[in-house]
Amino acid sequence: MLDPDSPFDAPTPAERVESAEVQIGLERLDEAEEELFVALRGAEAAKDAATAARAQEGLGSIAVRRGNTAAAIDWFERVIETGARPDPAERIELYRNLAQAYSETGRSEPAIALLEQCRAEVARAPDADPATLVLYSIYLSHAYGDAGDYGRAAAALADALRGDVEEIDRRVRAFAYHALARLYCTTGHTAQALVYADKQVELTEASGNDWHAANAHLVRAHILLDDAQTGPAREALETTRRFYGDRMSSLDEGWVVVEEARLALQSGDPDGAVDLARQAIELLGTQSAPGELGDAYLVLARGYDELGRAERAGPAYTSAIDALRKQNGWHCELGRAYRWYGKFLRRAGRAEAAMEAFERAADLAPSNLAVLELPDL
Amino acid sequence: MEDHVAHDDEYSNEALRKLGARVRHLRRKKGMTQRELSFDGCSYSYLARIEAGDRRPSPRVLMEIARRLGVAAEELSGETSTEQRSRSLELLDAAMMIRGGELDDAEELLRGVLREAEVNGDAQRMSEAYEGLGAVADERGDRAEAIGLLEQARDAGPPPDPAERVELFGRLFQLYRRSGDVARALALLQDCLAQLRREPVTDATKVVRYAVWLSRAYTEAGDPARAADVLGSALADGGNQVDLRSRAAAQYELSRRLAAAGEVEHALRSADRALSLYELDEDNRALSEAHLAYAQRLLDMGDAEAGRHLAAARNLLGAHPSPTDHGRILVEDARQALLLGDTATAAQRAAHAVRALGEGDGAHLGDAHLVLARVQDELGEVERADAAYAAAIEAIRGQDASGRDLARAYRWYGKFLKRIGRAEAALEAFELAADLAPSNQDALAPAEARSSTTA
Repeated sequence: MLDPDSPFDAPTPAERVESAEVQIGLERLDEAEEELFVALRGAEAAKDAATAARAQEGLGSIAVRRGNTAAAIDWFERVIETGARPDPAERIELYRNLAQAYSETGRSEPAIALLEQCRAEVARAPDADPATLVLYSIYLSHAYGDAGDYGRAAAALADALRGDVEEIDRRVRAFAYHALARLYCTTGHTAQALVYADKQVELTEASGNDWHAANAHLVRAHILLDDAQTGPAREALETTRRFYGDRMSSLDEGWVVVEEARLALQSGDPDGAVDLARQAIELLGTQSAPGELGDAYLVLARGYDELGRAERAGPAYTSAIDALRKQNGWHCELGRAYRWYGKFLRRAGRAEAAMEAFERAADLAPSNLAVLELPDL
Repeated sequence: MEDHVAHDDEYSNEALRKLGARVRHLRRKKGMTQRELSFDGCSYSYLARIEAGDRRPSPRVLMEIARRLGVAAEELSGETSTEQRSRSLELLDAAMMIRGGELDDAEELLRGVLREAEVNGDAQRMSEAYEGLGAVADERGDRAEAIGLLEQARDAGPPPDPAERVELFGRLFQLYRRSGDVARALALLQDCLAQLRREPVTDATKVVRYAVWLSRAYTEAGDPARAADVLGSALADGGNQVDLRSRAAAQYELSRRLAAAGEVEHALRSADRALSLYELDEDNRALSEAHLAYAQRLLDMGDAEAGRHLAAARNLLGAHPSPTDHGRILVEDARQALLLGDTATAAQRAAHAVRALGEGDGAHLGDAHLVLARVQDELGEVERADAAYAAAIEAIRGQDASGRDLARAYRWYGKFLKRIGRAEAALEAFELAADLAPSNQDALAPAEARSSTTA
């Protein structure tokens, strides 16, 4: 018979961490947090540095999910600074999360330095895994992009295109193509962006993972809409929905509906665009995806503007700008929003405010800053 | 004892280098190491020297190497049959036609070569034909078509050796970077350099050439530190100030005359020399471009060290640079003077740049006017600055199909107008800057209204 007070029944700190990790995946953050604090205390008492580090990392992940970036940075830094520094080849997620948290708080410099250091350490290892190297290159390019340094963002991604990494796994290659498609779309190089979006689609379809394929088609649809290719964009969005099937979260659906709203606007259907944009806003909520939410508000504003409903368009434009300002690194989208807002203000006779909006649009446009368009020799 | 004959006068350095490259290429194709190919009378270290173009093997050694590589000794020595010579002439002719702007004729010739190569299953020749067709498309300004054809050239048959196909990789690199695909351009060059460095005996000239391109690409991507690393010793080299382009043209003319007179062997040699001279000239131009790009980046960062690189860029172009090259350097000279607070010199250089670039094909004239505008702005010469900004916009409008440079010019003009209190004009300029920026093209308007919002 089992003794109810037996110490064997109490989970060890390591077991608690494992259980908490599962709960984080299920978004049961409060329970996970409680479990992790107990595990951390237990691990510290037992001088089990490895388990303590995992508990701290878990607490950082919870802080990220709650949008508490400062706390997340604090936890992740503790993991790195206490005890032996974790190996970047083995703890990719930890370093990626910390760098992303730095970027989100506008601290591009430490984000870039951290990722450069990780990449260099991985590259120095005699048996360096090319896929890990490419992943760090992609994260580094994100960090440079967030800092508005699009030239270096592209340079970092060159690692993903080297002939000797052709053999890296499909998932990582697709991720690299996604990063390239987004980068070139952001800087106004839609032709190049489409080249990589097509490659991403090809790889994800071949992988048989419908959810990833749906995401790839969605990126392609976004670029096609930027390029004003309305017909192909419509087809790409239909394909997106087909691949998602019934596996769409409300966030996924919100992203699809934003693009459908853009399509409606581009097809000369502002009423439809307004309806879809409102649906998207509802689906996206207010916290998780400020960038996409900003896009949705922008379509809403444009739709109202087209319909001559200035009293609704004005607040929608300012909501779009507010949301986009919260999304780190979306200089391009913010610039676009200011451009449309400037036109709205100008029509409303508010010349001075319009000038400010246009100036911001011109200042934020990556193609006005980047060094990606190069002259002939 | 090794059976070999020392390097003699009959055999030029160029012929030995080519012989070595052929041995290396064929050995690699067979997946053999130098040790595996070596034999009594030809040690692997001696083989390495043959491959490096340092030694000429005796006929007996050459025949044995050929036998072990499974090819005819003539193929190895580069002695060609009449048929092979006429095939080489076809490709050389096409290359020269492209340089001379006879694109339709070159395309027709190359299509014929490609058809024939496809029928014969000759991957090497198919690759060369695709490369030529890619060059034609590039010269016509069809960037996407050119990239597609050059990628076919790269992928037809065994992977091409960067040391032997500099034109192919160089052109593909330029096309990637001009189309904005910085990542692909850098990856291509990094691969080429890595491949060259894996050779047992590296071809230093080729390494320098690729390093210069790579360094320039890094500079343009905003990473001068990495650019400087890559460039390393390449930038320390001096430049050849001889007018190589004229010498190349003369050699080509000679080769045509010799070919017309039936002197095929001599014609081939002259054409080959012409191409080598063009390559040398392009090396110098590329090096000059690298210095210029580096100087531009340093000036962007406010570093007066740029002056040294501007001087190097100028030296490499020789005594008679084209007005466009001269003008582009003057533009940066003006920026350098502006940085040092020497507005009088800046104004003078910028004005000279405007004149020089105006004499050329007009390319980069907008840059010169923009610098002039900034100088005048700095001097408080509002009217002159205004006129220079307007001239810059006018010049760029004629050249910039994408609107990218025009948007940038309007942005700076808007800031100037705002500063001097011309709010309405500033509003117009900023709106145009926002509208023309390619990254602002989100097409969030009904199709029929789009043209009016972005015009």
